[in-house]
Amino acid sequence: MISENTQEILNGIILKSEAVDWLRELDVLDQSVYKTDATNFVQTLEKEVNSKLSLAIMNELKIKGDGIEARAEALREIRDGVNSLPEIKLEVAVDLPTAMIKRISKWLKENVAPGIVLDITENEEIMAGVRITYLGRYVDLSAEKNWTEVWKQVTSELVTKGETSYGGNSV
Amino acid sequence: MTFEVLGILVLAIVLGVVLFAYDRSLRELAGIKKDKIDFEQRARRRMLKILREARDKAVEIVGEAQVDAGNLKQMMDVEMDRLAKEQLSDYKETIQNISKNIEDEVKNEVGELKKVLEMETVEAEKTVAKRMAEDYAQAEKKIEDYKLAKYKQIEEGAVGVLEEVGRKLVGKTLNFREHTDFIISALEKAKLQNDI
Repeated sequence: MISENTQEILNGIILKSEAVDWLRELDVLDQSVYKTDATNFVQTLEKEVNSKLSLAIMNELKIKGDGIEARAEALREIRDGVNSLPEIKLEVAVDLPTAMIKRISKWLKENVAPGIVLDITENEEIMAGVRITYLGRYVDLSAEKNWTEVWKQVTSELVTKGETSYGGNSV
Repeated sequence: MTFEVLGILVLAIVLGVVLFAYDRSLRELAGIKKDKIDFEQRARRRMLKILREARDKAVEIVGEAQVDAGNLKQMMDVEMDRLAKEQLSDYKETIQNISKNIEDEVKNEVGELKKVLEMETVEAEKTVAKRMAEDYAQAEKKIEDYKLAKYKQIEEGAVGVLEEVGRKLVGKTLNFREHTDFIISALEKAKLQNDI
């Protein structure tokens, strides 16, 4: 079981792609656990692993110790923690800049789940708003959905007016 | 155009039939008149032959009876002549009556035939005119339907283009902050609906 501090670090992951990178780095570290001593392991963490993951592992090693088994356990628990982060899929209209993604992530972490990670895809067709998939539920809150309904109404009105105006013509 | 030509052809055929029937009737009438004259001549010849034979027979009888042949012959001739005239007159009258009946009958038939043909001609004209009017109305409706379909097609095409333009405008005219506001607003709505 990882510590609260480590969990907080994991909760700092914003995007699913980050979580995937963490898992890849954990795989690499797994292989080095039994081949290096504690000093070399720490050096590897400092040089080759991203700072947040490194901080999380170091945090766990402080609690569990720096033996081989402790290192292996720390890596396994952190992997489990990453894998258990809730994921939300968001389909948005534009390629949002990082600042805007952080804003959305902050809102979700505060209002939905602290460790929630975002899997964002871009789809110009939806115009604005978002399509959400979360815990097996899908909800379309895009402008495209409303636009289609509004446009259908406008179109039918236009066509109806067209029929009225052309209907009385004679050859 | 085709129906007009067809109508003219039908009328021409009907007129031809009328003229042909009329001509045939005239020919039949002329034939009847000729037959009547022939019949009269044949009747006259036959009558004279009968009278001559009768007279000869009478003279023979009278001669045998030793009667005054001259007087008797003269008397017989006068009588025979009178009888012949009477007979001829009757024949003539009868034949004239027959001829007149035939003529009246033929005239009636020709008149009725003419009436029937005239009626048929009028009916044919009406039918052709009605058919032409129907075809014209049908063609007019087809053109009108085609026009409406084209207008609709053009209008729908224009509406499709407008929709695409509108769709792109909405997406492009928002900046990142507005997009983000929109997204967070949607997330809030989803949260309220317990979708997330």
